[in-house]
Amino acid sequence: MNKPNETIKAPLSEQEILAKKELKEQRKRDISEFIINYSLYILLVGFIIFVTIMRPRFISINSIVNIITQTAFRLPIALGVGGIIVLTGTDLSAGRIIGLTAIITASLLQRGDYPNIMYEGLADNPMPILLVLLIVVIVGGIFGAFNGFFVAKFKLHPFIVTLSTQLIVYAISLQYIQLGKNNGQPVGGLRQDFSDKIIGSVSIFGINIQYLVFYAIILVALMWFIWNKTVIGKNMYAVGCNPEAANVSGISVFKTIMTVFIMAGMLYGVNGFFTSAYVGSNNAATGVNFELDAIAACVIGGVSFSGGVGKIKGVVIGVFLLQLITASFIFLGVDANLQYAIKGLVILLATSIDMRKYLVRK
Amino acid sequence: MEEKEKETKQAIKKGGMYENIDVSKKGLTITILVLSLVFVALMIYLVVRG
Repeated sequence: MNKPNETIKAPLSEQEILAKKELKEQRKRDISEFIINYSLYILLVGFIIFVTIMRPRFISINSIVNIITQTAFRLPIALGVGGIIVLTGTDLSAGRIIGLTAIITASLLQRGDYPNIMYEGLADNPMPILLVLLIVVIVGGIFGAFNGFFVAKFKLHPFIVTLSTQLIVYAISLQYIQLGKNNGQPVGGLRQDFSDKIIGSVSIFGINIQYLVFYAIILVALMWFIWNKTVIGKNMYAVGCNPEAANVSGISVFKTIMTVFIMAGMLYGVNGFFTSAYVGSNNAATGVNFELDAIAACVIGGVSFSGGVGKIKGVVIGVFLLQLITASFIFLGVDANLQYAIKGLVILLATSIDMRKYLVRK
Repeated sequence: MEEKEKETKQAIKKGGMYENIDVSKKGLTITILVLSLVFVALMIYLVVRG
């Protein structure tokens, strides 16, 4: 006799068996899709575990704080480039703009007693630090507007436009460091109050954290707000996703592209401001190839070249992972040549995954 | 007619840098797997080299 709570199982019909089989296969497909889509993260986590086992000091507090500081230093450029990638563009001039703004910052904030001071007038009347920040943000914004104008107005490919800007900015940097008594020398001798405000540190629970990290957090919060909560951000995603459709829905594609490029330029200005203090001695080569790391970080963080896809969270994770890889190379003692190969491989893998995801969506 | 042309244009524009790409998903999957294997192989090489 059956117990009252016991259910009697009826034999499964052929249709039910087929449905179950289909469900099982779907699950299998989902798992393999997950593994492929997250293969880069799986590999990187594995790599980090491997480095930690090989060199336990890799996950010491000092090492992690150092990686976070490096991440903070590279974040503004990645946030700028990220927005441009969402618009299906790219920016090859970012590093050079950072270089120029770093040189300008350094030249305006030199110590009065520095022998090669560029502007002797500043020895007696030092410039306010915030005014210099404003100047470099405007300079960065102007170059951003320059890029944006040619992309938005003449529909030129950002790759070509920003490549031209890169060369123009480099020439300006080379000319700029000839000014005054500097005569092409690296621009150094920065004021201590300026350096203290950027690379000075505060102790939290006995851990020294540079101010740079806090500035980066503010920038991330600001950009998150712009990307997610403002009309500019929403328009950026719409234009990146489909410019024609955005135009039909009444969004000004020109204004949106210009705004995103100007914002990116301003962020490069801020990054240049940080760089001048971080590097200390700035020359025309400062900032070179920064944009490549930024583009790589964005792709690793899931900002898609298909346009209209990407999150601030992804950019931050991408920059952090890239810095983690770079730091791990130092711990493993990998020579520089191999470092480039591994970074290149990671970028290629990230792009392939991105392209595959696009094909699946399509 | 004009409307249809506009729609086609919109569809073509979508995809950014990947617009109008014509590659097989299978090929990309194989590429991802091969690149992952190369990555792992490089790591092993690093360990062996010390």
